[in-house]
Amino acid sequence: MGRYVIRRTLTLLLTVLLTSIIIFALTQLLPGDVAKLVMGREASPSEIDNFNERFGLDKPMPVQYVRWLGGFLTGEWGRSYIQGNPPVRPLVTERMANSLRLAGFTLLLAVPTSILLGIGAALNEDSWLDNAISIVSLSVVGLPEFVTGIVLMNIFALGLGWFEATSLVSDTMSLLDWIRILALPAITASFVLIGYITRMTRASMIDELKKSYVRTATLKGLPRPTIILRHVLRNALLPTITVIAISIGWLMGGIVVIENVFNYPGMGSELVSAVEKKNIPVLQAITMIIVFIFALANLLADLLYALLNPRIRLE
Amino acid sequence: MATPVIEARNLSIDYRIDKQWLNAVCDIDLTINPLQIHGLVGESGSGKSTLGLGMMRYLDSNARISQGEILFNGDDIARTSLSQMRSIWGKEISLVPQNPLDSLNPSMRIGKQMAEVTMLHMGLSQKEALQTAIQALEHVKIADPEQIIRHYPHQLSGGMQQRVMIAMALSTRPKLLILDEPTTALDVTTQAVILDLVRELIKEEEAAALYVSHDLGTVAQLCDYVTVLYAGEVMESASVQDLFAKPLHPYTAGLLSSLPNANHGERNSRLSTIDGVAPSLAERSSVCVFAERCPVAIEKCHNEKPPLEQTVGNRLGRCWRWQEIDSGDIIPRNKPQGFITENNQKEKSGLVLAAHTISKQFGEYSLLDRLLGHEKNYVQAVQDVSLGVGHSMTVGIVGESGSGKTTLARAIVALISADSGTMELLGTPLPVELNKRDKNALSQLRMIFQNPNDALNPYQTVETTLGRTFKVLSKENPSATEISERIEEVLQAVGLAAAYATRYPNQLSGGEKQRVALARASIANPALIIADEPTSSLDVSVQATILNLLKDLRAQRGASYVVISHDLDVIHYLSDWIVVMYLGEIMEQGSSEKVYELPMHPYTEALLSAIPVPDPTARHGHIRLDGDIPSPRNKPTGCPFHTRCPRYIGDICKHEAPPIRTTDDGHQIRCHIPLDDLAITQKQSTPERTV
Amino acid sequence: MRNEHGFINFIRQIAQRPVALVSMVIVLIFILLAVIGPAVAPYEFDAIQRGEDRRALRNTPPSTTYIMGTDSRGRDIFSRLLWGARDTIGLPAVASLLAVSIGALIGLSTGYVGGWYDETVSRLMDSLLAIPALVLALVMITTIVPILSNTEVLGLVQLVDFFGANNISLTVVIVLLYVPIVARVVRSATLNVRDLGYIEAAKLRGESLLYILFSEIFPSVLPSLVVEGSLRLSYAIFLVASLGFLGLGVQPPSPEWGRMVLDARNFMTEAPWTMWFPVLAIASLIISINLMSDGMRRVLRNEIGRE
Repeated sequence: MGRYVIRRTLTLLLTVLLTSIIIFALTQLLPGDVAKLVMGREASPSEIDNFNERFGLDKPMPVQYVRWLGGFLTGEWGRSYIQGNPPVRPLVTERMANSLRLAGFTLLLAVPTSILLGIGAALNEDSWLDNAISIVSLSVVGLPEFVTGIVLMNIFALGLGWFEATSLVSDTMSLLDWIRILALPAITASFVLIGYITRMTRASMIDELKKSYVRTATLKGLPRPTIILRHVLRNALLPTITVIAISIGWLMGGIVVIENVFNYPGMGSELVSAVEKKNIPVLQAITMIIVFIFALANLLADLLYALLNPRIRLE
Repeated sequence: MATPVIEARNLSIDYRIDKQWLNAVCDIDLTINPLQIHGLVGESGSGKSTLGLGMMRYLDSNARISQGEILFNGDDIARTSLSQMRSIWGKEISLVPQNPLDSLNPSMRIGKQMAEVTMLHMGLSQKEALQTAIQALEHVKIADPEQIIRHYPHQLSGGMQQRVMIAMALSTRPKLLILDEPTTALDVTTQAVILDLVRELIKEEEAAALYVSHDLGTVAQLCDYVTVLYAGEVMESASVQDLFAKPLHPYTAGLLSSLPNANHGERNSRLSTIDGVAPSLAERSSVCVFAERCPVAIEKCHNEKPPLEQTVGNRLGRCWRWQEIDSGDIIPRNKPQGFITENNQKEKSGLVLAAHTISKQFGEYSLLDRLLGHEKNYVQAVQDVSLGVGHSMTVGIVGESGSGKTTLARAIVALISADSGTMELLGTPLPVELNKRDKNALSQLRMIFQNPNDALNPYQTVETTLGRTFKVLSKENPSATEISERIEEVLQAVGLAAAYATRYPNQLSGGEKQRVALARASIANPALIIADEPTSSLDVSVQATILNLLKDLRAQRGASYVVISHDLDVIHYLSDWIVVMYLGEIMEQGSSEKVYELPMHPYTEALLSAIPVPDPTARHGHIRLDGDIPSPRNKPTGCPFHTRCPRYIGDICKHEAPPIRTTDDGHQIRCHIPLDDLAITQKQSTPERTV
Repeated sequence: MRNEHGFINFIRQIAQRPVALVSMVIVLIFILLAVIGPAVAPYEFDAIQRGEDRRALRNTPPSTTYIMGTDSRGRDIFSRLLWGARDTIGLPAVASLLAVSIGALIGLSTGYVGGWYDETVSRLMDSLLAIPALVLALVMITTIVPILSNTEVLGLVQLVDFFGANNISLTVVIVLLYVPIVARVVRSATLNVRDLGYIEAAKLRGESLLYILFSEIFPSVLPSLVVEGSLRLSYAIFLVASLGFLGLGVQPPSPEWGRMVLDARNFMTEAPWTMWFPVLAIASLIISINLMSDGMRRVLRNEIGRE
């Protein structure tokens, strides 16, 4: 187990490090001067020198990278390029909190639903129920979030008026207010997740049901529900842990679009505006946070998987 | 006569395949009496597992019982509800399955899995049930059962896992045990121990058992009564003595005489074979199912299905001609087609292949291990192995799992590179790395793979495969006509019609695929062919044809062979020289007769003793080895065999690698016991083995 | 018999699955529209429709003349959908094809060769996969578009002038995003056959690396590659439409469908049809591709199961 944990952690750290290089390199590839892009073509040479010096853009690339990464890790996320150059961190952390609320609520909705659907489909393999679940999950898994978001908004917010179409967030909101605001974006985000997790759960459950130990349990004389609950479920849900971690990556991408559809003040909508304004420090910070969250989710999934799987735990 | 424990009458089981119900087993009559171990023997596709599990009313989701009844305790369990079966399963009828690791829940402790049964059927508390589990494990001779119940299945060896399954199956004292190929996944020395245990326990518990197997040897040793199944039908059933002494069905007779040791040491004669292949479910005929392949079929056999009727005494048989077979008027098997005349180049001096001190380690020493300061975790798969192969000679390498025999073969052909050691092919040095070998070396040294199903590219026709091989390995660029002539020639040599050239592998049977693989190996006239378990995935009757073919090819073409197998009988039949390996080292090597008939090394002796002889009157060998083969990862020091050696003589075995002792005729034995002592103990302990 | 008439047999088996068959037909229709769309469209995509009073017909509901209505600037939505099919489907199709080819090459070679080469390349691919696709797409678009717009490299300038910096960027982004995924699928399919007897037999007769990769391994990898390719197409359409919706995809005047939804968003209440038709078009296209590739996957799995 120890060996496994160390190996996974090191691999993940290496991946995140490589990823940070990719992100940094991509954002440094901008042609010409960032300064010119940001300040406009009319900026005078001295203004540009000033800008470059202030943001450390006059140093060689590796130095910039190390400074950037060090800064990121110590919480010094730099200043935004936009007017007034406000520090990046307060802005981004506030947005991150909102996004995490949305992500958490989405997982709360999507994970139990899809596991139940997946198990239900697998236990009735090839029945009408299974076919219906398969077709629906295959359909929603491919629907872009802006499509589902807009459809849901039209029906439930603009049509029926049950929820808000746009998300005005304030510090003083109660939990109920939050739910009213989060409901539609979270349901939208759930669609893709439910489609994906349901299909994977179904597949691993079907695999598991075909294994010989299920026959052994049957031929012990155990009733079917006991076999499913005591023997099959635990083994079948093990791969689902990894699947959920992977789907968190999806969720982070989906949130970018969904926050835009619902004007939700999270990292995603901030990311899009950073892209539009070439606001590199904000872009880097948000991307790195998303990568960290995704990596952390994967690590947690690996650990949980190892803990629940005696083959790895007792290695 | 006592009432039977279980009785199937007229039983048929169907499978739904491609929207059609197909008959898998048909009109089965099977009776198991109290205290009886009933063998159900058949080749792959005969329906023996379907029937074995069907007897306990366990059917796959796409299967159904289409007719007949199964009487158990006076009830027809073919008709009872599943909920009623739940009170019988695990309590009155238990299963010991083929693959114990897959049959245990990987994420549940052994104790809990065992306790489940007794808690359910005997109303025990968890504590009592665990106590019962411990006792049951003691019963199957597991040391330290208190520890074992806390283990997970993957922490146990295959033999231990199967003991757990047996203990679990017996823990409710069932009336009937179904054993579905319980030892197929085990090594032969472990199999021998498990079979002894099974027989002892069944007799002790006064239970009855149905033993499903493809292996006539284990059936002869274990069972009291035998039913032979072919294409879903009972061909014959009789007491084990009667059946092996005098088979009354041509299929049984054919099976027995196609075994590699059927000729009783006449290694120059061909084995008799059963021609053709068993029909698939969809192809089964409404006449005698065996008529197509039967050497004594008459017109009636092709027109009318024979009934399953009482023949001599209590025996049942399904053949129109059993009286003639009984009276000896006809011999119901293919006569072996004479002796094989050797194209003898054995006098030719020099060696085709000489290998000196070949070693190979596996295991990676990763960056992480280095960072963490872990010790190197290497597996010594082959250690200092030397052997020579003469002209027109067959060398057989025999060993159980972990013996390194396959690693050695792959090192010789350079699919893996040996770590150390040198090789010479026809007197010239042979590089250990594949990319350093020239075209000549590649064409002189060819290989036949273990699994015929993946030996041929499924997307290439026979012609493409053979043609490409010939073209690439030929010295001159052969023309298209030369290539196709050569293909025809080599197909003929392996007994396939020229029409096979345009077929794809999925249009060939297992035996045919192996013939094509043989054709591919010999198409460029190699000096040496390495065959890795060439028949282990084939049925007995098909195996015989391939063994004959290997002998014929050697006789005609004079190539040398290195044959690798876990089956000492196959090795003995094919080889002039036998090499016995254990945990990567050679324990003994010598001429075939010497090693097989008078083994000197304690391991060889135990291996021979463990082979189940297909003759119920021959006493099963008496030497049983303790424990399982150690993992090559934790290879014992000194003599690798010392942990299980019945002739362990003391610390010297544990600490010192044994010397190689050589007799005058080149017979080599690696043992601390002096040769003379070995020979003496030998003579005392072998007389009951009939060869 | 599979090998002799593999393709025909495959189609026949697809045809036995109603869901897969219908979705395949729908996908083919969409592809056809992407090719001939502009020719059959009743109007130009940017032609502003005017009433008798010469004023633009803004947001008119569906009628017999304009079967899907007109948009906020008075352009015929049906015509715009037909014209837009080329960018919505064509660009992702070309990009996925590139990604599949490069990914297959990398997957085959890493899977077969193994060792340090595999270790290094796979680690790099994993790092790309550690960034959620849409996020990586956004970051890349931020830099690639300006790079291309400002390029002075000969040839590239003409390419950019011809296809547009945005379209080339999108293609590059999709290729970079999907090469690792395709490579991973092909690599694991390659690992499945790498140690089989027929590959070893080829090695033992001294065949070259390229022969083994393409003549021996590739045919058995092809089925999973086809399925993965169709999935990639679906996700590429998904991505391009999503970026279009964010205003960062194919740029106007092209009537790319995601962009059409974005433009229609402000008129959601007064002219919902301007949004519904592109939304429906995207949804039905993607769902059809997914159902089709699932059908293909099942057919291929059955084939393998039967051997």
